[in-house]
Amino acid sequence: MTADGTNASAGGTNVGTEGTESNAARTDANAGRTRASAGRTRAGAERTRPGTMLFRQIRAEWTKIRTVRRWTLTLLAAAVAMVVVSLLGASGGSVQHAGGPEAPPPKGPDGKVVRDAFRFVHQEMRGDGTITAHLASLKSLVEGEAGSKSVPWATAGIMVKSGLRPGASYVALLSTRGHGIRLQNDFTHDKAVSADGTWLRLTRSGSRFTAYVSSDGTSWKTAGGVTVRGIPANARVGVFAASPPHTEMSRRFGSLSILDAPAHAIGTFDNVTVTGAEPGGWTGTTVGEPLPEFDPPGAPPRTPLVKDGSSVSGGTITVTGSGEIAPEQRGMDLVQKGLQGALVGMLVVVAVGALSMTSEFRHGLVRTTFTVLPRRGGMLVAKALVLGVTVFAVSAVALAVAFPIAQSRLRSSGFRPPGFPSWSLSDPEALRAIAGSALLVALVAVLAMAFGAVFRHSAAAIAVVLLIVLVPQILASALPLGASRFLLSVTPAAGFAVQQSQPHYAFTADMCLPEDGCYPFSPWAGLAVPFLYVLVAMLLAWWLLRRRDA
Amino acid sequence: MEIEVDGLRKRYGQVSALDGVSFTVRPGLVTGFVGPNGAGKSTTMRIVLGLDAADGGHALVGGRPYRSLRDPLRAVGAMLDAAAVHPGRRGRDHLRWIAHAAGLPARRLDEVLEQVGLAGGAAKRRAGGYSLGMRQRLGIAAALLGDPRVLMLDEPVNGLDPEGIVWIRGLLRSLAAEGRTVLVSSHLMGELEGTADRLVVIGRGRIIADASVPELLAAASGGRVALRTSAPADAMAVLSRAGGTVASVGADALTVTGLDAEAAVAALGASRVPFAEVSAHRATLEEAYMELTRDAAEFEAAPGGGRS
Repeated sequence: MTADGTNASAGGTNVGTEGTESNAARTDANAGRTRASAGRTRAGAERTRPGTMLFRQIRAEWTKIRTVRRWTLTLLAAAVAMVVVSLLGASGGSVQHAGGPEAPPPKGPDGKVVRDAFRFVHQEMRGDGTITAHLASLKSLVEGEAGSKSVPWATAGIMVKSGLRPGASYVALLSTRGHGIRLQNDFTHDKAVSADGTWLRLTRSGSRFTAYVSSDGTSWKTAGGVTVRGIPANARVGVFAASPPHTEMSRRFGSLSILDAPAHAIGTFDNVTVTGAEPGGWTGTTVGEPLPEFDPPGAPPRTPLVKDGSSVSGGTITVTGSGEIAPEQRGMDLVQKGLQGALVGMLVVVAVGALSMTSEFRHGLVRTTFTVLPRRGGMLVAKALVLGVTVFAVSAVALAVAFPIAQSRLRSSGFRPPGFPSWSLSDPEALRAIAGSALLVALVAVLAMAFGAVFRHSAAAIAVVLLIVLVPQILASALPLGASRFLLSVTPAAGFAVQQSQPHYAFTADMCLPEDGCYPFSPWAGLAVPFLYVLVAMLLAWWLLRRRDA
Repeated sequence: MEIEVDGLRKRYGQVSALDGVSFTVRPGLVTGFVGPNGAGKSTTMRIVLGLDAADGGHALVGGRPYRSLRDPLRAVGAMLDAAAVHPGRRGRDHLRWIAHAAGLPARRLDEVLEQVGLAGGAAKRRAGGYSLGMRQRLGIAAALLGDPRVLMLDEPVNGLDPEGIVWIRGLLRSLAAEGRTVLVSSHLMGELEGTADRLVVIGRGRIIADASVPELLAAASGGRVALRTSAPADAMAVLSRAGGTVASVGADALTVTGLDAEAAVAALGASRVPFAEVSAHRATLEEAYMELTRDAAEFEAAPGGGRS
């Protein structure tokens, strides 16, 4: 090799232009970079355009994937499995509507079903005004054997509400047993405003509500403010108390037992002043449904310790209330129930994903691939794009076909309004769940492909993907809540969060249980977890592809 | 476009697969790359194609490392392994993805299928049902797809029927005649007899010989002349005087080295020694190969070739 000297001088002109240079250097261990650069200089203007290369790679990978009939059939089988399993999942279980039509549940200002039950001592306020109250004490009282317990979400506070109808728009500044002082409005909005303080003040100015908190009644601190437009000029203003039931839960493999005990919050207020109110006395009202019957039918009736109610004597108002002011969260997520096929389709698609890569190694095809297009990372990216888009399209179509049929089956099994929402393809939550599920299936397929490049062995790649995607799903209902929530946060199974149609609000007494379809993450944040897995697996695969001999 | 291999070294664990391999493959000739199984032929080819990284030395195609070639398939066509086809893919589809990857027009598919004799029904069948010979043809078709200046074929004759062997010899000769650089490997030298112009012989990761075919044959024949005579004692004396080294190999048979046949006949004729059946001993390529690789054959497990 006599060209070394000249090459070395040309080398400086062209170092570090593109990634291929280091590839070249590998073949060319001794002469290395200088030689590779010299070659590029000679090539002059006709340098590789990465865009064209990627396009060719994508086209080649598309041809590869569509010309193996077994893979096409497997993808179709995955689609069929998704539809069939979604329908089967929707057929299980039914709801009996005994005893005539039940009362429709209250709906909040945004039309979503809410729980709105509490004891309210109120008067009318016209236009702007202020309510101030000193919460002298807040007690939580649990009936039955768990009498020594207290309910963290037992609450008492001050409230401005459009009317006494359950579901009516409101703003409340409230104190809780276990979660500090909070400013809440319209069921789904919550802000923790202060850790302590017993004096509460809420000022209305048009649609603007400002909250103040004080510990002595003289020096006030602005705690926050909200704008609520749904409250008319004539509103009810007053003090309230409410407490969700005391809940003890035990989870065993696949079964869940929940013990609910009725509970009350007792709030004692003094120094209650209202400006802007019509002169007139206080009225006590129990808003919403009374507490549901907790005792099993046939059991001897229990003497309740206390009854909900209120008393006004002098400047002191005592309110005893039970119930919740919260978005409705308990109950089945019907969107999820109609998309159960995604999990089964995923199992099938994992095989196609892994094989699309491992077959290259098994048949020695990877050498042909790399001689035609030496950029190994490009092949990986092209495979990921082709596989991902193909699987996404197949899954999205299958799930979109299955969804309306599953929903109509669910409706005919009794999951229908007014007790349950009615879902159709035009609902944004349903669309997000369908598209997100298809995206999740695609991500898992790409994950299997990347692992295929890492292990170069289909069985290993498939086993690992199933282990980290499927096993957490199965264990979710068996493990203790903390462990299952942990698994569903750190494994790609977190992506199933994208199927949730109803957000979980952490500021209520409801627990987020995986078996109820509640995931630790919000839909898109959950999907980010498998995406990160794909990213890491792709980087690892890329590094190994470059490093290893083909 | 030349293939230049210079000082290639490659180890797999403790086993040295290539130990300083250097040679040059020139355009317009068919160069045979021969050696026993496990000698390092496939490893060398993989390194030339940038598939395996050498531990030392370098390999260039047309003066550049393969991986820096702008359009590698138009420069180099390679067939490393005829079995490197997905069994579930039709032969034509196998070529189609390669054409897409290399940015080649679809008409090239028909052209190369015609060229290798797979046009018609065969290309529409799935490669899993192909005979070894058909796979060889498909592999060669893939190598020809980019109309490359350089061809590298690993054991292309393997598995071909006699008709196929005649066909591939003609193909290789015509490709070289078009000025292309053709490198063909084989573990049987006889396969390349009458096809290769030059031979690079490799054994145990080292180049043993790099010469034209006539040179190799001459070296292996060693200029021996065999003859029969009714007067062996006289003949031995005459031939020794003429400068040959004579050995008696039977009652009336002698072999002479150091004299060519004409000189031997002239010397015997001048001395009126009776003789018959004078013949120059001409080694076959296979014999030359056996002689060259006698020490280099590696029959034990040969990791160097084990991955092909």
